[in-house]
This record gives sequence, structure tokens and C-alpha cells, in this order.
Amino acid sequence: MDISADNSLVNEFVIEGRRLLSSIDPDLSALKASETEITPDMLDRILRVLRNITSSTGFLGLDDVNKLSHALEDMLLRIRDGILVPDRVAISELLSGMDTLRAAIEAICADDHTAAVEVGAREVRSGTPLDPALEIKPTKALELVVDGPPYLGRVAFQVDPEALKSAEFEAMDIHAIWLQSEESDFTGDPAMSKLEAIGRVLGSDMDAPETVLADVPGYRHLLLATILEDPDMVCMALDVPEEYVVKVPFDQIEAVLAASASPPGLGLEGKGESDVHLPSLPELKNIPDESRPHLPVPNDADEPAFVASPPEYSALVSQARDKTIPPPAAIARETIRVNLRLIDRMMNLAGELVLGRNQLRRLLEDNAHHFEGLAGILQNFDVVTTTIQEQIMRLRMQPLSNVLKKFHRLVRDLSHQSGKQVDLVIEGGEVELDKSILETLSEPLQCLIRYAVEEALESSEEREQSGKPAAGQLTIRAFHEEGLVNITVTDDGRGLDYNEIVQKATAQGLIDAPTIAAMSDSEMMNLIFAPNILFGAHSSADGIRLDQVRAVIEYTGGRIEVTSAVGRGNTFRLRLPLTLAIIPALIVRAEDQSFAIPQMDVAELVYMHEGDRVRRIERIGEASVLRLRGRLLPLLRLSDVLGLNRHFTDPDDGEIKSERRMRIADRRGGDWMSIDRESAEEPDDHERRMTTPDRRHEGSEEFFIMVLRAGPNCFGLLVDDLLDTEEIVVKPLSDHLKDCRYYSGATIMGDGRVAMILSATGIAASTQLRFGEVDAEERRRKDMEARLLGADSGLHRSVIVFNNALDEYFALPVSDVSRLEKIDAGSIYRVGRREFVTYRGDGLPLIRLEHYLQVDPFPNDIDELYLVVPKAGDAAAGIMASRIVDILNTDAEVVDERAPTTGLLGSAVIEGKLTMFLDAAELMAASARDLQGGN
Amino acid sequence: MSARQFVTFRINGHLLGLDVLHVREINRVLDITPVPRTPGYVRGLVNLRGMILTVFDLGVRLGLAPREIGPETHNVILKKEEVGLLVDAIGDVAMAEAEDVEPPPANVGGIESEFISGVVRLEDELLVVLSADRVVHYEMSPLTETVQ
Repeated sequence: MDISADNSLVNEFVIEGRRLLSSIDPDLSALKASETEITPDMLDRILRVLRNITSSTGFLGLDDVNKLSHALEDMLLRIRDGILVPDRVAISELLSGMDTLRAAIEAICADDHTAAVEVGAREVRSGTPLDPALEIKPTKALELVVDGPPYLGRVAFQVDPEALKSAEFEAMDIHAIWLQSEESDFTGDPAMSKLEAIGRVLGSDMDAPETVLADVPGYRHLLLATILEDPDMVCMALDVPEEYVVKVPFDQIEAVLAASASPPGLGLEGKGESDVHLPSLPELKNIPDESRPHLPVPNDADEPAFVASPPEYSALVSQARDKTIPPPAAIARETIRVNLRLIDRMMNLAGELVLGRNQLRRLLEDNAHHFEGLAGILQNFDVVTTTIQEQIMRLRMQPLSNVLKKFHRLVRDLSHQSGKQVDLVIEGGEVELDKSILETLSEPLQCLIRYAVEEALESSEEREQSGKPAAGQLTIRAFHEEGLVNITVTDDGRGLDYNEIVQKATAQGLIDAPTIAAMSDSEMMNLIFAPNILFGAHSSADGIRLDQVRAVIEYTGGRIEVTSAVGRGNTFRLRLPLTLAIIPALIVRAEDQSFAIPQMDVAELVYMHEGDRVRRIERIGEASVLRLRGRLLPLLRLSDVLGLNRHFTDPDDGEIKSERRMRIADRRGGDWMSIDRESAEEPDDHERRMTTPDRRHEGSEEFFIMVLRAGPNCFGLLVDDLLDTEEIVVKPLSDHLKDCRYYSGATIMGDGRVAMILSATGIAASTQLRFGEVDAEERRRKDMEARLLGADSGLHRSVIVFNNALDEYFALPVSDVSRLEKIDAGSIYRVGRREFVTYRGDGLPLIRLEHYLQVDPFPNDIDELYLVVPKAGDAAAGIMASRIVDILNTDAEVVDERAPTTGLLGSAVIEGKLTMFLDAAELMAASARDLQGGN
Repeated sequence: MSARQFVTFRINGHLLGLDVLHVREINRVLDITPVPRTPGYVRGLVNLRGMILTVFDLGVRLGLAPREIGPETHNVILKKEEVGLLVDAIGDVAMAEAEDVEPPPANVGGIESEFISGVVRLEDELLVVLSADRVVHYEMSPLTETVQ
């Protein structure tokens, strides 16, 4: 046998064969050790290896090794099927057979395989027949074996070689597809027309009832030749789950074709008697762990086996091609495949073209009037250049529907599983996105859909009870806005309940009670994106993790936010850049150097006058903060962040020099950021040097702060100057700069210079901004303000809770109270029926609640008591309180469930206590009447 | 017998060389955008016909002082890597038989020995041959980096 024809294949096989054999070493030693415990697993593993070796050797024409391996395989099959008892003799024969096989494979290297195998064949003879008669029935068609999803196993397709060849000639890709159809008559199925739309069906197992899965109803296996390269695309086009489409490797097809083109007399032309077994090398390369070995069905045990042996593999392939060039079939669509790298290079060159155009324009514009027609030519050149750039960008764009389409099926499956009715509406599938962004979107969108169906939408009964249509509405909408692609995922479910989220987060141990207490509503809402929080199933394996959704979206330079209305549903809104390659950015300057900041990162721009400084910039601990509409934001200065003050431009030679001691505060004269004020006191003060003043900033009375988003937080970044908005072409950073998190890339500016693109999240992380501290300070101030001002009529109001009798609780809104006084019981004096204290020289009448309300009396044994003095014009009076329980914020609803009582607004449960809300005005009025009547 | 060719250039007066096979081009694209907060030897980035290259200050990289940009300063652009090396001046292309490249001495004029792949004795001078790979990829120990 001439194996030199394709040594590389043989070598590959030897390496693979070694690996395969050593992978079953443990099983073989187990066999050796205890013959009794032979598990089916063990046998399956060994069988699989043997099967592979048989296939490959058959294909490579290593007949002797092939025979041996086949014989061993047969022996194992007989053991597995209980025909052969695995006694000591049989096992030792098997083992020695395996050893021989190993030796034979090793010997292939040494070009000496025949001798070894003869020994082997003799040895196994007694246990097994040497005639491997376990081949499929002879047919002219080719057999293509494809590994399906684990639970479906393998399927052998019968394929017309001519059809396969012509598909290959047209550079179509072959996919095996598992389709489910309710119809018994497949031809009427709409899936069929979808199939026709994207390619040609080469074969199916409809005619091969012996296949493993013939007894599963409704499944059809098809072999489809299509121009679609990617299995994902096929999934989308046919609306089938990903695992149901398997791309048949190109080399497997080549191998099958090569084998079919064997010389006359060896293969196909042998009067239909010969049997073409078509093993493939690719099979050998990836053994699916879970799939069962493909067992050929013995149809006619008397048929002699035949192994097609292509002596000159590659030559035959080309020969086959030359001979059978089919007339090119009608091309389905006018598309060609282009290498992505080519597109990237074109993008680079287009960028260059734009630069060149800019330079040319700058040079010629002023002189255009000297040359007749030049202005027009320039204009034209301008337009063409811009169009070229745009069109090249568009090469990478693909419609969103590629991803969205397959969600119909997902929603259908999910709603079946959860027993809910869900209608999915998709709008705006034509919106286009960069391929790379599109590819990352599938996963997060799936997550959001799962969340909507499994968590957010209610069951039909629940919906009907609350007066909604039985079927939940799920809408995915894509549209352009502000130069970004927006995708919203909206459900009309029950909406987000903070309490539930908080409970969930607490139950999963992600957050503790004090943290929650300090949270605002929107922060609680954002807990659904908290790291590791799980929704849906309760095992981490299949739970829904919205934090990962956010991570992916932010990775692509996008953002996600959620809005919700209780009872009406949620909307997740994704905002994505059109392309990773070109983004709108703000160009800013710090220390005469330009930087780009993606507009996506910029929440707003704050323009400040010198005078605003004092009012709006202050210090918390070590850090500077910006006051912005009642919020506090950590504040950084770009030149400090980047350490730019360490460089200055030498006025003499224009070179950038390192200056270690110089501080920006000195150059400016004004130390507007409090951090500078502090640093100026550091010991190296005397070493400061005054250098050329920066004219641009000298006496400058205005400056810009960009409010940047970094994840859920915002911070202010002060820049020296704000130049312009530009569409920039993002170029990735080289490895030498990758560690530097301040930047997300670099770009080439209009003047041809390189500018760094700043990363807001990177800056926040690298400077270790303490958002928590600033937030806490913000909350503290808000609380204080709330206490001072009292609450509005809004949900939250702060109330003073106090006792009269020690077990009865009363409350007054802080906003109704003018002051609290602590007095000695001894200082109370009586005038008639009323009690008074002296306050600022005047007698202040006291109100005992039991005089006006049906409540228990004030305790007698109290030495110190409090007076709650309501705001009530001139008629001052103090309500006696035995104890001040708390001053707190509450949104508890005051219910007036009693018969109207003068002086009471109603009651509410505050911190677990039934608390009566006093009507201060009424009480004061009653007290005043009382006084007048008493007098 | 195989001849090697070296692109030669000067740093602090030393004659250094790189195998011509590692060099893409030599130019005077010196409009370098500094990149703050990066290792000292990264001088910055330049735009070379739409491609962004990282420029190393070869002086700093070899453990010497930073280069000052003058009329003779050149940028030696390496192949494969998107890296340019800033050098004081460019010399001729030197030829040597492969076996004339001697193993490197411990230290040549303060140049870190990690970067030297060999020396060639030319008629009147010693050519220090650098390893392009090491110049680009060698990770400085943190101690060395802080020295500059």
C-alpha cells in the first residue's frame, strides 16, 4: 500500500491514534485488573476509539491496521451485546489485540506496519471473525455521518455525490439540520419553503428509516447546502435552535468526495455490490463525548466489506473537480464573502483618504478662485470621499433582525415552559448595527426576554384578575436616536417592586439592611443589576443574571437602563453605538494635549464661571466634589488624573520636559480645587518653580466640567478646554498600552495627530473614586434638609413620634412643629384649670392630650417632660409629651378609620406601632377656646 | 556562509544595529502624541499612514537617558510589531557573515544586556546588535523601570 502519497494525513492519524489509544488506557487497565466489572461506559469508550481508528485507517488505505481494528471492534460489540462472554481468555485476547494495534500504529511511522499486524491478526483470530461484515448495504449514494446534538446522536445521510460536488463547487456550506414538524407530510411544511430560500436540500433521512431517531416522531434530518457560512445564520433563517444546526466540516465533505472518486473497480462501479464505507478524518479529530458511537446497521452479513482507498488523495480531489464541473446553479443572492481584515484595511485607507482630503482642502481653499472650476472639483471630491467612508463602514453593518428573528421561537418555548401566554412584537428589525456589536447582543437580549417571560409577566389568570388581556405583551423595538441605536424590551407585566428586589438581594446575601436603609428608590431599582443577583430559577446554573447583561452592554460601549411602573410593566432600554469603529466624541484639552471622550460617556456638560467655584465645588474628606442640582459628584481634574502637570513645554526648544515638582496650582495662581489648597502645604513647597504662565488660562474665568457616567455612578471631570464634537475612528491600543485603563483606544484627528480616547469607567476605577462616601454625604445632607424643612405633601414626610401615656404613640409632621422643649415637671404651674410653663418670660399654656382626646392620661411620676410646640400663629401652646420616641421619615398612609374626632387626623402604623396623627391646628384652636372659656 | 545585514543607528554615540529583516522602514514621523501614565519607555503614538504606532524611546528602553529630538532623530519602524524606535541618528547598512556575530559582552556602554543579541567588530567600530523581539517584549523588572 502506497501511503507516501499523503504523508501529512498519515502522520496526523498516527498522532491522533496515539492520543486516542492513550485516552482509553485507564479503561484497558481496568479490564486487565478485574474482568468481572465491565461497564457499558467502558466498552463504549473503547469502541469509540476503535471506530475512529477503523474509519481513519480505511480512509488512509492502511488496510491491515484497519482489519485489526475492525476485528477488535467487532469483538467488543459482541461482548457488549452479550454474544461473547468476556471471560479471561476473551479479555486477554482483546488486550493483546489492543497492544498489537498500538504497536501497529507506532509502526506506521517506521514504515513497517505490515509485519506487526500479521502477528496481531493471528492473535485475535480465535475470538473474532476476521471478516468484518458489518457494513451498510451497498448503495451508490454517499454516506455522510454527522454528529447531532448529544441527545439525538448521529445521523447518516445518503447523499447524491453529484449534488454534493456541485454544492462544493459553488462554495456552499453544508449544514445538517434537525427540524421538528408537526405535519407528517413534510413537503407542505412552511419550513420547506424557508429551506428553499436559503439553499438546496441535498439529502434527508426520510428515506432511511433505520437511523437512530426514526422512532422520534416529527423530527426530520436534512442536509442543506447553503450560501450561509455561519450555522447561526442558518438558525436565524430557519428559526431553529442553535444546537439543531451542525455545520459539516469542509474536510469531511472533501474526504467523502475523494473516496467517491476512487478508481474504477475499487468503489462505485463495482456493479453496485461493493460497499463504500466513508470514514472521515475529521471524525477522528473531534470525538463528541456524549454522543454514542455510530453503529452501522448490519443488513446483509454476506456482503463482502470493501474499503475505498484513495491512493492519491489530493490528486483525486482535483481530478474529480475537473471532470465534473456542474453548470453553476442560479445564484440565490448577489453576495460574496469578504475577509473582515480586508474591510478593516479599507476602513483604514478610507480614513487616510479623509485626512488627505482635509489637508488638500486646507491648502487649496484659499487659492480656489485662482483656478477656474477648482471649487466644484473640491466639492465633488469632498462628497465622494465622505460617501466612500460611509459605504465602507456599512460593509460591517448587519440588520438587527438577524438577531431578533430567532426570539419568536425563544418566546414560544419559554411561554410553553412557564405556562404563560406571551405575544411578542418586534419592531425595527431593519435597524443596522456593526457586526461585532450585533454578535454580542444575542445573549443579553435573550436574558432580558427570559426575565420578561419568566419573572415580569404574570400568569393568564393573574392578568385577567387585574383586568389585563390574558396574553402578556412583549415588545422589542429598535430605533435610532441621538446617533445611537436604541433597543427597548418592554413588557406589560407586574412591574418592579422595590421590596421584592430588596428582599431578593437580602435573601441572596448580596446586601445588608443598613445599606438598604440608605438607598434611594432608583438605587433600589438598580439592585436588579447588582453583581450576582439571580432571577428566575434558583440554581446559579440557569438563573437570569441581569448584571451580566449590563456587563456585556457596557463592554460594547453601550448603556442599559430600566424604567418601571408597578402594575404596568418594565422597559429595559439599551443604547448602543452604531459601530465600534466610529463613535461621536467630544474633544477636550488638558495641558495643551487633546483627548477624545466618547459622547456615550458624557452625561452633561457644566459650564462654570469663576464665581461658581466657591459655591459649587467643595471638599469631602480628601476629595473634591461638585454640587449639581442638589447632588454631589466626585470631581477630578483631567490633568491631575493623567499626571500632566509633570510635563511642560519648554519655551526655548519646544520640547516636552519632565518637571517633577511643578504643580498646576502654582501656574494658575488660583487654587480653586480644595485639594490643591491642601497640597500646597506639603513640605516640598519651597521647591516649586514658577514657569512660563499658561497664557490660555491666565486670568481665565470660565471652565468646563464634564459629568461622566461610570457604570451606575457619575463623576465630574474638569478639563482645560472643550473643543468640538467629532466622529472619531476608534483604533485599538497596542499591547504596550493595554494595561493602562485610562484609555479605551486611540484615534487620528483631523490634523493627522493621534489622540487618546479616554475611558470614563477606567478613570473612575484607576483613581479609586469613592462614590460611596460622596453618596453618603449627599444622603446625610438630604436628610438634614428634610428635617429642617419638614416634608412636603409627598410620600416621604418626616414626623415626630412621641408618647403621652407611655404605651400610646402620637405623631406630628415635623413641618407643623415650631420647636421642641425639655422642661422639669416642677416648673409647671397652674392657673385655673390650665397648666403653664414660663417660656421666654411668657406663660406658655400646656395641652394635656387626655383633655382633648379619648386617650390614657399623662403619667404622673415623670420629672422631666417634653413640650411639642406646633406652629400655629400667635396662639402658642405646648403639647405635653412624656417621651420623644423618634424623628423619622415615613411614607405610612394615615388612615382615618375612626368616627371623626376633633384633633385627630387619623392613625398609621409606624415602625410596628399604631400611631395617632394629631391635627395640630384643631388642638390649638380647641386649646385657645378652652382658655377663653376658662377665663 | 550566510551574510546578514544590519540597519545601524546611534544612541549616545554607540553604534547599534537591528537585523534588516526586522525593520519595516525608517522615517522622520516625529509628531508624537505622548500617552500619560504609561511606562517611561513609551514615548507616545504616531500616525503612520492611518496606522497608529507606539513609539519607544530607545534610550529609555535600553536604560539610558530619554532622547532629545533633533535634526538627525529618526524613527525605526519594526516589522510585525506596531512599534517604532526613536534613535539619535541613522547609520549605513552594515554587512557581516553570520559567524562574525559574536556573543554579547556583559555590558556595553550602560546598555541593558538583555537587549543585546551579539556584537560585530566592524573596521573601526563595534556594532552592538539588538534583539528586536526583546526590545519589544522584554518585561522590565519594576526596579529598572523606576530608575528613569
